[in-house]
Amino acid sequence: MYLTAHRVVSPVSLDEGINSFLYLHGPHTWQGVPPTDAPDTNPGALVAKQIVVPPPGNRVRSYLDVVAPDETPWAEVRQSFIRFLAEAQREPFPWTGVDGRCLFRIGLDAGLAAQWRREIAFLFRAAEALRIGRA
Amino acid sequence: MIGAKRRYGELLIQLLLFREAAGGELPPEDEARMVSELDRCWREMSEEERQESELGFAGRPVPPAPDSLHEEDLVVPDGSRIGPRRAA
Repeated sequence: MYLTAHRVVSPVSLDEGINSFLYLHGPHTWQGVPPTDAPDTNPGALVAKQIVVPPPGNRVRSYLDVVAPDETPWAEVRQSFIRFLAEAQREPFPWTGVDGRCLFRIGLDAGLAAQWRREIAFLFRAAEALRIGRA
Repeated sequence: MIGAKRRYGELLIQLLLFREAAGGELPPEDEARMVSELDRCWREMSEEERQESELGFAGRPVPPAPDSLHEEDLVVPDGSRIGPRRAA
């Protein structure tokens, strides 16, 4: 599973919002830590999306990536995410880390950095809504 | 107690994140439950761990971030095996 939410801004209308996408790799495709080619060259197949600002060509201002086996319960993803954040917050953006069998990546631009907790909460909420709505 | 400081840090993140996601405030029962758990961890921490935790959170600067991510989004049809953004 590759679940991602990103904030984009249209260069034309300046509309801004969070789009989210859910890809699946197939059940039990891997165990443990995600494969190194996921998600960049192996995102899986897109099965659901929530579009607020229609692509293409919008500038990406922030993103949250989650990679985990398709069958991972959401409660496990959420707990792993909290542990990841507790460690990552000491570092400059972008943040990348693995907790258990979940890979997380977070990036945001300097304009959002001062409110990073709020931005991450928004991204996580958008990702969660898509994933839970699909479960 | 071993692990109390780590648990405290995780709970604090969780509390802040849930508050933000809820629009600023959690339902009182959820807030009370998490604060109670924070208190329990606090009591189990040594004085040194408490100071480290307080200094760590209160004095932590905003994490540096780039001016731009230099990425743009793209159209992804259902069933596609390409990601939703790329380098701009």
